[in-house]
Amino acid sequence: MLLDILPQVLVDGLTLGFMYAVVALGYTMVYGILEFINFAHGEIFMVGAFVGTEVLLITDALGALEGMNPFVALFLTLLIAMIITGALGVGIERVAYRPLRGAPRLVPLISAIGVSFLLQDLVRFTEAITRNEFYLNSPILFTGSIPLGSIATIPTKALIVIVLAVVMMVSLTLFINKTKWGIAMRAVAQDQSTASLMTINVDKVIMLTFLIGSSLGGATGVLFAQNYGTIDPYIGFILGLKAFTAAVLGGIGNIRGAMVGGVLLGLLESLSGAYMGPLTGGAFGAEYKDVFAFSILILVLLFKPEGLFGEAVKEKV
Amino acid sequence: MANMVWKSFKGIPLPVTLIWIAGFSAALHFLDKSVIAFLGILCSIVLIYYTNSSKMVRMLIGALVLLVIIPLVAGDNRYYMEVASQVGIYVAMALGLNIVVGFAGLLDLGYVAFFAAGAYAYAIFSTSQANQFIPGDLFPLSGEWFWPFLIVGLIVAAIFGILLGLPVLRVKGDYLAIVTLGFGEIIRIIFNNLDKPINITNGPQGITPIPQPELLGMKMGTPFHFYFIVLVVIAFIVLANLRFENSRIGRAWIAVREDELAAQSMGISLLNTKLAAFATGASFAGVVGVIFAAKQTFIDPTSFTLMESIGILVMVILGGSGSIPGVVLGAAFVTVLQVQLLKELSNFLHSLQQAGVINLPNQLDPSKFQRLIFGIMLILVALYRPNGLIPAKRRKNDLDAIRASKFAENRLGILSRLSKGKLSQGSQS
Amino acid sequence: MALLEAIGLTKRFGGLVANQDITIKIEKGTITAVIGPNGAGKTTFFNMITGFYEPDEGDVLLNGKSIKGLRPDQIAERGITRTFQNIRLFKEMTALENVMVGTHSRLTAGLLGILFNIRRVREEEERARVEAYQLLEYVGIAHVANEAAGSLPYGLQRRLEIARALATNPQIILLDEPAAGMNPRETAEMTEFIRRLKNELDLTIILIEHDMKLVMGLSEYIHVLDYGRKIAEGTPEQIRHNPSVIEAYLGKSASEVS
Repeated sequence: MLLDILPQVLVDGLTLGFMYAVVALGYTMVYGILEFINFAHGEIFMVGAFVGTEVLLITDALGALEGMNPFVALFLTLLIAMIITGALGVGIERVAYRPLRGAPRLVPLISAIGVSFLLQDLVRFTEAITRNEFYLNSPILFTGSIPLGSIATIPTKALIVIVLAVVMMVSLTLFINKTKWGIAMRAVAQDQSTASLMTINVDKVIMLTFLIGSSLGGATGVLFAQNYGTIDPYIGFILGLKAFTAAVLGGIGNIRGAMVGGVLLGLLESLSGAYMGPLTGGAFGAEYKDVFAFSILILVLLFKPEGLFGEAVKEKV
Repeated sequence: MANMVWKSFKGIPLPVTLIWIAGFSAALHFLDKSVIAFLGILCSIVLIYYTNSSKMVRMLIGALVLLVIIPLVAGDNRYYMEVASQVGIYVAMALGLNIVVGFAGLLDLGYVAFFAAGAYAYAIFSTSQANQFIPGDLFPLSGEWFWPFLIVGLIVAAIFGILLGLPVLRVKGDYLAIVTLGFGEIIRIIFNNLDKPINITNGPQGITPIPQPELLGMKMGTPFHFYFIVLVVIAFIVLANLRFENSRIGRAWIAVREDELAAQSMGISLLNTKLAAFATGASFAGVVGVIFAAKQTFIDPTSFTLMESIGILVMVILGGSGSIPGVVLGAAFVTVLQVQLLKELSNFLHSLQQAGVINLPNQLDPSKFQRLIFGIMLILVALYRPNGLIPAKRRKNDLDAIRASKFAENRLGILSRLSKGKLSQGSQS
Repeated sequence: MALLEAIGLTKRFGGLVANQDITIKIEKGTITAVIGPNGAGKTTFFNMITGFYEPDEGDVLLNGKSIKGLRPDQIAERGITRTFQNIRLFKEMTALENVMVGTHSRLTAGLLGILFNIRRVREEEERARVEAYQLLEYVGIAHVANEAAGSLPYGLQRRLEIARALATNPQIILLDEPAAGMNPRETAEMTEFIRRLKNELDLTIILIEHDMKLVMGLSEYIHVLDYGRKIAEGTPEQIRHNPSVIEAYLGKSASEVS
């Protein structure tokens, strides 16, 4: 009986995992360049979800959504969300992080926590004023499902999430490896001062990193809203934490690692949510799945802090 | 420009402070629920700190205000006593977190877990909750047990601190924040679900009724009593902090914060030092956790969320990371803001709405704007005043006293290797 | 028996071999220099001795006992102390407090003792303060005892770092480029100062240094590293004329050394 639900659990895990993966990219890229954990990245994801939902709700209210091709609707939503969250990310870097670049480690972290809180309440406030409600239900564009042989069906929306996530990750990898700016990003991540001596504009590269990371995070937010339907201003926090766990699991600063870490974490979480209860005789049920995710984070940081793909870095004495 | 004015500031003249105290004491006495009056009295403590008098005089006046004036003038006013106790509890926790974040430089985002440990320790054993998992009908314990449980709460929280610290402190600096955040959440989730398989914490339903403290048969559960209990505990905590600050362990904490590599080279064990910070900071939270449980008579996991941890962090950072007076100010400021000002503002706006002056949408209630305000405060502090309102200042040692010390007759340490008469003074430059 | 012996020390970082089979003996009471071009592995060697890196192969013996694998703070307790190339002071603490940190492993005060302010802790603390002050006098910076270490001029910071290291009451002191960033007059003063340390305080000193004048003028024995290996050892006279050494430096320092 337990095995019956396995295909569904795996599908859920993959969908979740790919979302973690793309959000993890934002964390890992910023850490790779600045050695800084962008606490507010989860909130950027959340803003993406809200922007996407608002776009659809407004389009629907205008009566335009009914007849629109869902792929077109999705494309437009993604585009708008990515532009807005990308700009938001760059703005935050400029205002709240850049002035603190030389400061002791604690100070930019504090600023990031502040930004995170600010965004949560700003979104809640805006929604409360305009809609008198901040738990939103997003119109779902894809409601069908596709059968996988005879063992399972995969909801179309889940498939879309996975496909788009893969597209984003592949594009990023190509960008990093093949384009001038991508290579500049890798150079700055390795050695900032030398990169600037090679006429690379470090500030611009950092801006670009935030732009890309944030817009990808925002896009994932749209996909999240499409997949789960209901959103609130606090989804960014937990998901951000888990995406960060995925980034660390894969090796912080390592793009391939973030992707693998994300998918792995998603699968582990889905499996533990489904099976922990039955396997422990009801003692530890699905409520503990967050504990599970955090525990993984702690274990990885303790025993293999460089993650699956990272290299151990020793501080230069 | 502001710095120049500040530097030439010689201290507030004593008469000014005394008049301020007199004025706000009167206000406190005659006004029933005035936040302004209460804030005024709290500010008088700050004024006393900056008054141009000797340390003895200032301490005397401060003690007078806290121990005599406030109880006299507002002792029968439940409202003021409640707020004061609340402030006191957060001051104690902020001082505890100050050791972890301020002295040792460890960014702990899960500090509220230690508070919960102390609170639950008392709640479980002073109600019949403990009977759920300890056979025999030994519990509940009476309110007389409150006093020893202050120590029990301290120890339980310290143990939590060490258990948490052991795995967590091996992690690299930046990650510590995330890991402690994760741990804080784990503990909250566990407390929220520990009603099965064995019921230890009664899960989301919480534990109640928690008995009032009793002394020799006399019940001491009024806000007036709690005010004094909290004051005494804070006094101990402040004293402990002052002693730690200028001691071997305090220097070790700051050394570890400033430069871990150099600290190790001077013989400081990173793990032991960090664990000591964690355990000590945790113990303060544990003690006031017990007080909190007794005061609220009911606790559940919703009192111990991430927001609480962040709130205490804001108090420390805003007040002045590593600075004892700064942290006290920060805690008082944020608590009053959170508990009183926002509520008052929201009441005020509601009353305006009743009077038809303005139309306030439900969602725009100021008391719900905690995150916004915390967020803005954190960003502003980080950008413009990272050292806080009252930055930490290292102690200036009395060099004359050192030269006159009885130990100064001999050459100490490595200098004892110098043969007599061969000591050549280094060139002054 | 040599006071400190490094035997066959090897350290790899991925594909890079920072130190290959380094064997160096340090006799008690001597001033020994470890020199070599940039990247030769000198700091890696220091880091292995002080416990910051664990050797992949080889051993380090202090007074005949192995200290390999010990933590840096444990090694400091056993009498090996150091200064740093980039000066690592505790900037927010005063000069006096910085030196007091050096006494850490020799003090016994614990949490409870400090909390209750027992007499033993008070006296120990006072003694540590006096000692720190005396050390500041010894290195000549007692007049800035209450200044924040981060606000001191460069030269005074260097001396403060040495005073702090002395507070650990060491047998061996490792000086990592003590004359870095100094002009000739300051270098001469530092040379004189290091000589005082050895003579007056009976210290064993190991230096990494690039300034050949200081090295040649001060050292009793020199080890030369290049590309992670030891290529020569000997007295200053011997090293000066050693062809492989001259070659390693491409003859650059040879002209400075005369």
